[in-house]
Amino acid sequence: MDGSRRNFLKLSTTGLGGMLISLNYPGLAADANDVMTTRINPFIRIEPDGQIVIGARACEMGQGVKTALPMLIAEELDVPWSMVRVEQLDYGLTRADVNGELTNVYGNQNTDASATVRRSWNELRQIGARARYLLVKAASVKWHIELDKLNTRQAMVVHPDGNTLSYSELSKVATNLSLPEYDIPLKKSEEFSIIGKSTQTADASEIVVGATVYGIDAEIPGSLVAVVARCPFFDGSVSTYDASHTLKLSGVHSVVEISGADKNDISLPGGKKHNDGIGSNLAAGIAVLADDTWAALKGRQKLKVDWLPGPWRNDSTEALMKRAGRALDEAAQISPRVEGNISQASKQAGKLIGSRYFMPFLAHCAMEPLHASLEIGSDHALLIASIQVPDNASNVIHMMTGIPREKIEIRLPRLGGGFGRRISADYIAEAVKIARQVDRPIKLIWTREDDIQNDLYRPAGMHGLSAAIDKHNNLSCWSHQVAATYRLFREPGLQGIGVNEWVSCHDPDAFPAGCVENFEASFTALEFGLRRGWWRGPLPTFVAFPIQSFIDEVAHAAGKDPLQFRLELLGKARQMPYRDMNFEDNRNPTVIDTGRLAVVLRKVTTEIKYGRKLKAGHGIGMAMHFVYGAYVAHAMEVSVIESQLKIHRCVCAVDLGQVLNPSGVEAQISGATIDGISTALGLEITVEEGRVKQSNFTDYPVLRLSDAPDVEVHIMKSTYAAAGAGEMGIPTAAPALTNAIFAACGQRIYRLPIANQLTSKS
Amino acid sequence: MKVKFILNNKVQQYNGDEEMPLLWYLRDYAKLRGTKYGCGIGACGACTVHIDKRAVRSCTLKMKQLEGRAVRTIEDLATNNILHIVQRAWIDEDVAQCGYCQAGQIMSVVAMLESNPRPGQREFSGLTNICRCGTYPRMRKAIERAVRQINLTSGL
Ligand code: FES
Ligand code: FES
Repeated sequence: MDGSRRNFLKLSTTGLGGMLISLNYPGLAADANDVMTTRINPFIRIEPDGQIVIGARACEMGQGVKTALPMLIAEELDVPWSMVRVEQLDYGLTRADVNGELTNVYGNQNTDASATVRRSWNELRQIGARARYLLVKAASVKWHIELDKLNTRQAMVVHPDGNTLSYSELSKVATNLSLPEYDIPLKKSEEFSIIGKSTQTADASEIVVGATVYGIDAEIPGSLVAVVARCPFFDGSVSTYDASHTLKLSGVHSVVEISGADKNDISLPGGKKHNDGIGSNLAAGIAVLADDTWAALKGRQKLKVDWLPGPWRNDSTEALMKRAGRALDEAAQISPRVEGNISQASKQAGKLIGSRYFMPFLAHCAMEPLHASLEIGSDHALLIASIQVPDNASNVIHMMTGIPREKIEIRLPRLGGGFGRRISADYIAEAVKIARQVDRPIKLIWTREDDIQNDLYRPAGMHGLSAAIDKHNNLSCWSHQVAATYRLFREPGLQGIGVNEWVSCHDPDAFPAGCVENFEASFTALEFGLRRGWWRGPLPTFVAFPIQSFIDEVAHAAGKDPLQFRLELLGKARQMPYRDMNFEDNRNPTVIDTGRLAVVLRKVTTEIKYGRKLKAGHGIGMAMHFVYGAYVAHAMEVSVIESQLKIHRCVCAVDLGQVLNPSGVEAQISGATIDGISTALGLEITVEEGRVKQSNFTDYPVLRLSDAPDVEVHIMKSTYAAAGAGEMGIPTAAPALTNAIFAACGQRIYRLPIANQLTSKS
Repeated sequence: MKVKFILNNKVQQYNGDEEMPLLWYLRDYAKLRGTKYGCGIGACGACTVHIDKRAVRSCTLKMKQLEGRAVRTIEDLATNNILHIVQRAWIDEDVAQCGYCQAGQIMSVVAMLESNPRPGQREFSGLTNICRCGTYPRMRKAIERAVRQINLTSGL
């Protein structure tokens, strides 16, 4: 624990009352009126009736962190979960004094890269342990007994003679005591009573009665609803517009123009650019402001706008595919990993095979469309919106308005899904542009069409894979060349191909790297106008499908069983170095353990009874992948009869290290598997004449109940560090499915989505 | 034009824009925000309410079509703080992930079970609300649980 964190624990030893959610800076505010409620630290409050209120710092988007993070605190605080009530914390950025450094009283509140639990595992337990320490110390003062003679149980401190004092009796005294300089020793995993137990979603009972407030439900009093007519062409702009019909409508307040891509919008002091590329990710458009949503929507319909189509007007995804193909015919721009001698191994090969796989652009399509409620004052701003990374939103508002960051208040409502879309703050920047032109708070709403047509899409690209099989029928050479529309292309300051371009589209250390003597991973960047962003399991999802499909192809070419072939390649359990290039910090594990990968693969194939005799038209497929520190495998049994695909069984095994909430993990893995299947079956964003073709669920057909299989999830017992769960279930679902299709009918899927490619007559 | 209808057991008068979809009336004026916006074209079911006991996607219904009809939203499903069997089942199976679609899912399932407490394959395939989080497997379990409960309490 660092110095600043210790500081905020000391700063907050004041009794606080009222709803945590209504305070701007709970760690620093004080309310002397309510002496009955005691705040032990910024995360923990004890109510007069003994209820323990624990604050959840991360943004809940369905991945279960609002439940999981407080579980970590409750575990070390040593209170039964039944006594805990969870409350969402606001953004806790503050500055101790005018010249002081910015600190967040809650630490890191971001939700991305399945890292929330990973980065909180020790930190939040320490928070709980420190509070418990203070309570025990308070008892030791009252009883005049040494600290280490005392124990805790059921939110009470227990005296050796059996007497007890409840936490609520002790909390007042506890807040006046000081903490030691060292970290408090934490429980051993055998002592856990909450961690590892299935715990229900924190808001479950509010959700089922429709009482949960999502970002889109919040409203700043007096606000106008804003909807935007955006230029449908990437990097296009407004030529002329006529709003006269719009302004005649009752309920319409005004119309304002917003400029689009403007690289100078967002700059840090000293001329540095914000690394999110916000300013350059905005479409130009006309915003209609109205009293209610319907009036705003109608007003937008009545606008007459002439767009200037910009530089990408003639481009299309079909043209992009051709460019990708040509790029793969030529030498790659960069080869992040090369081992052995590919050309020599190819010459000596008994057999050479090669295939190309195409991955489409994808939209996030979170169920709750994008939106932002925003009020901008002269020296204060208030944002209420569903966001994954409050730091980004705060930065953007600050850079665009000059309002000091500690004066930017951000509430964190529940998110109706995120899937990576809400990491970027482009829609917050758009809200800022609008709000600065009107003198009232605004509530910006994106329709589903806006959402699908103005997404930051999962990159598209083509994977060229080739392999050599030597005279002994072993894999001697593996080359994986990717030509793709790298994610970071609009990042200001990026020029030419460098380390950053390929990290979103290639994973040079992924299996079978390290398992084959001659190896090459290479990349060529493709230009394309569509904005790109993070999409649930961004990199693993992009590479697992081609790799796990091609492994199957190679196995068949070598006349080997796909399971045996994979296990052979994994070989003896060992650790191989892994560079996680997506992250600057070192929070990700740096090795792949081939043994753990083999275990999950064996598990799914055993569970599905791989190898048994199947009915005609049936087949079993499998896939495995290393996903951000977790090991995941899927096996599916499908049938393809008269070109009709049916999934009969779907099994997933995961080794996520230590598991915090098994029920939550099961839900994540199952949901992500269905996401993977849904995406593989029918989802694709295409571009024609410079504009996105899809616009709603009718042409972006997310899977529905009747087509969704049940998912059997097996969570491996593991003592390794917790890896998170949100993205782990998705990457291997697609290749397991398409490998199963091949097993069932002999048709290999080279392009996602599967859509209506199945032609089998069997 | 004035529209007179019943909303969660109370008589309402509406004289605003008659083209306004019920969804936006519910959210912006009745402040009943449990009914969600997901697509606006009747394709996702997030906005499902009951009109005269049938599940209807409120984004596709104009205010002028409401004359004389009874609207029930998710907020009215639990009576006197007692949850509906389906709501209870949803909690017991811990269905919700982000939860955004779930009010619509529950309203659809309740309407289905009210017209047929022993749903078969055909009824299930009539459940076409989208859940982007993919909670379908737990949803199926919750429906099965609710069906058991209903048939138990009705003594069937
Ligand atoms: S919002 Fe009405 S069906 Fe989607
Ligand atoms: S629970 Fe998130 S959309 Fe259904």
